[in-house]
Amino acid sequence: MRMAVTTPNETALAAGRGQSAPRWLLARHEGLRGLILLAPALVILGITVIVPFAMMGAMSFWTQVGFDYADDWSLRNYIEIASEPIYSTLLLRSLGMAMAATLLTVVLVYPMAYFLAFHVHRNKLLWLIIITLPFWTSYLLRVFAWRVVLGFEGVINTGLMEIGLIAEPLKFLLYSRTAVVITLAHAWAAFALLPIYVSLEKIDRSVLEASADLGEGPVMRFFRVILPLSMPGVIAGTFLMFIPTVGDYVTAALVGGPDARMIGNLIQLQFGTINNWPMGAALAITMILAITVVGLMFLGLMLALKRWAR
Amino acid sequence: MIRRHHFHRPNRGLQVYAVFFMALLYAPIMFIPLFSFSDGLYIRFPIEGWTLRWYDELLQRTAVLRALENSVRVAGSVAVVSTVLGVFAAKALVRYRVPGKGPILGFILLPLVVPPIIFGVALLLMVSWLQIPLSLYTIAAGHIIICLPFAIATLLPRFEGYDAAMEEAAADLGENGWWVFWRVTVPIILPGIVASLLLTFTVSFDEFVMAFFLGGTDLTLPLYVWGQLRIPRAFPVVLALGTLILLFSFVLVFLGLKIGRRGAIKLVDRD
Amino acid sequence: MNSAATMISIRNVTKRFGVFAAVQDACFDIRAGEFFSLLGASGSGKTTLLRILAGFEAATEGEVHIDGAPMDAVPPHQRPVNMVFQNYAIFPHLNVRDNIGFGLRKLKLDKAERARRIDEMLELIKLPGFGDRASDQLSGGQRQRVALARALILRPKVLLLDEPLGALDKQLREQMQTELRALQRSVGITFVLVTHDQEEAMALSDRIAVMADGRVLQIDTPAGLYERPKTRRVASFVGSMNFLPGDLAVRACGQAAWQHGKADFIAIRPERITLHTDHPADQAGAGQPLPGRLTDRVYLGERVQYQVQLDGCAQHLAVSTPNTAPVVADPGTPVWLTWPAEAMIPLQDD
Repeated sequence: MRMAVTTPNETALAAGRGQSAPRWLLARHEGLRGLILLAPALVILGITVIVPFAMMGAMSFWTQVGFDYADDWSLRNYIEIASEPIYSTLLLRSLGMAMAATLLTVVLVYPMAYFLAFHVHRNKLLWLIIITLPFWTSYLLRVFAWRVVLGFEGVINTGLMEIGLIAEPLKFLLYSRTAVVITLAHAWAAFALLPIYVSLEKIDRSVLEASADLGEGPVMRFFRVILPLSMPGVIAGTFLMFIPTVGDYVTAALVGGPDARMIGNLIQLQFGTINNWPMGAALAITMILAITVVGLMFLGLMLALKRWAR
Repeated sequence: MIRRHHFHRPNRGLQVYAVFFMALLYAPIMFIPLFSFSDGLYIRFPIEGWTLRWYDELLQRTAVLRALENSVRVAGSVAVVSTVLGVFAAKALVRYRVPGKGPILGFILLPLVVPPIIFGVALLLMVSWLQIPLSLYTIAAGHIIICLPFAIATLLPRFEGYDAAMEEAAADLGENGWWVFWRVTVPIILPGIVASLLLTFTVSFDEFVMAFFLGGTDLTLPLYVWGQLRIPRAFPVVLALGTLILLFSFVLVFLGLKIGRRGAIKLVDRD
Repeated sequence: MNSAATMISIRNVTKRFGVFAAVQDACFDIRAGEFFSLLGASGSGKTTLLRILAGFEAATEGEVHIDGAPMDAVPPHQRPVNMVFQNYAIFPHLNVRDNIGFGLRKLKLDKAERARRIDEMLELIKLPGFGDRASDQLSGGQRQRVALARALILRPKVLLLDEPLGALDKQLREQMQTELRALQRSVGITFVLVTHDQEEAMALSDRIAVMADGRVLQIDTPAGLYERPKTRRVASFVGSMNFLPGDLAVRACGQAAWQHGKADFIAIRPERITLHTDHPADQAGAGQPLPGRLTDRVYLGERVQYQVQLDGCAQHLAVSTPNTAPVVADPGTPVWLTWPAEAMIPLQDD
């Protein structure tokens, strides 16, 4: 019979370390200490983000049967999405409307960011706070505000009729794609503005002096120095605004009509009145994939542009 | 000090544009308080008379007060939880050589970008799969996902804004980790903590999409507003409620941003 | 001071960050009551070694004993050492008084005793009446003093100073050097200073360890390092130095006076070389003066620095003479160089 042999010395050492070994490990391994501090946040995000995503992925391969699911692991939902034109129409429309809103916002926001970065010297912080303030507050109310403005009996129509410019309310204002695009642009402007502002603010002022010294006037200075240097901000702003707006459904529900419905509205319906959760899951995943593809295409386009500009 | 620089000469066109931009930004929102004082049942010009009766009616609705209480409870606990988690996570990300720091930060900040409907339906799926009833708790869980990035984004600069030697100095002077945290770390990042509490409270208080998917029979204020939006006759009361919500949110966020940034600038100036 | 006991014992300490070795096999003792400096360029490992002493970094190999006790498992807050940080790490949320008294919490002193100790320290650092100042109302020099007081109030066995004068301007730095030295003598605590400034190390220290690339090259008194550097790196790091091939140097001072045998290099301090504008008469036993040509002259105020190119080779020598010597001619003038045999330091390749 064999027994584990330990010398007295080793035993004493093990006993001494027994209590201090974890502390010793912690003291020596900074990364470990960091991970322990991060653990609560990561565990909670794991439970509330990763697990649900995995479940959503799984469910997208199921089928709704009456009030129950059949976990038959089929591609039926995805095949339906690919074959029924309603889905691709809604998806493409969502992407298109988000793009329009993003483009509109970036164009409108760039001069403002430029003004803030180069022409505001006093109370810059106050300016920044006032510009970002609305975006922290109720999204629902900001969208509702546009309904007040654009409505059939809204601010614009009754205002214009009051001063006699129009006799009849303009019907295209509310419940149209234009209304949704305008509202989205207004609601998400800060997401596009902040990164552009940061990239402009970071530009070393001596670079501008150098380009002036080398003979470039204000216009060429903008196109040859400022714009290229602020492109990372423009790209970041584009992404920050485009991605969430594709999935928006509150705006379309409140100010959009039947032909302004977006993919988000359909997803919401699958989990609501239509009550086809597997289809809703498949649609959500399709939407993520579509956003990823468009995002990569946009990045590719930007890289190609950069190469071409050289 | 005003920098009078060749490139900083006032540009009249840009100034006009800035005014136009700010007007466009705030005008639509301002119609909510404007019409909340209008005597008419419909939102339309000309405004026939001024009244406070919608506010009066609002305060008599017990459902509003209940929704308010629910919202405060959810937002309060979400603010505390996400700020505490944010303090730990931000400290770890700034102070320690954590493996995979970039991807971890990216993962935490992801909810800033991903459409909230995705998180909403995914969480709804899990919750119903596990047969957890929808309640204020499920709403709060959803809000933590959304608020954590804001807490961390507010707190990260605070940790980056002061020298790690402060904590080492405290340890060197004989304090263990617990006391270093309370005697040095917390006082220095306090403005960040306050800012994070204010901002995450407001974000949760005003959040709609997550609450829409994850809410049960107990309504939060945004859910209550959403319900009322289907009834055109209820618009004036919604306007009054919206005015109060906006005012409250604006004050909290303004304070949060001001406190959060001012302290940071002071710390940077010192070096 | 030589009789003093060992305060810090550093035994074969190596610190690796990944594959990079910041400190390699450091092995030396620091005596009680000594003012000891770790001198080296940035990246030489001096700060890492100091942080190992403080407990902020753990040695990968080897061990440190302070006052006879092994420090391996002792966390920073339990070590009998205190530190003055590079940027002083004055707590921004506390005033001067609370900064200085920060470490007293654990001693559980009553209010009067606490106040008395803090006042005593304010007196020591010559800032009486500054106790209620906010930390952001202090000048660089005052911050440095507060950092010193904060560390010394705990009466540590060792005070560690990480480039404590680096953030100050030149004039204040010189004043603080004097004060620091006087302070160390009066409190009698072992000081370990990290610096990249060789003049500072020379002015302050009893002994200096010169470090480069994680290794300790030489440990000696300031005079020993200056006059008897063991390697070319030490010689060039401490003060300025001329390096000559051995045979050339021996020729200038005469074979007879040279007793060191063969050396790869001979090092000569610029101030030990005599510059002649006329060919000096041969003296008995002396070698031949080396002829050369003046290529540059830099007027430094108290000294004048010359560059001389030796005839027949590309070798340049720096010569430094006190400003009291008659100012010699302009660049281009022929000159002769001589030096005494004892000025030559034989060095091996390193």
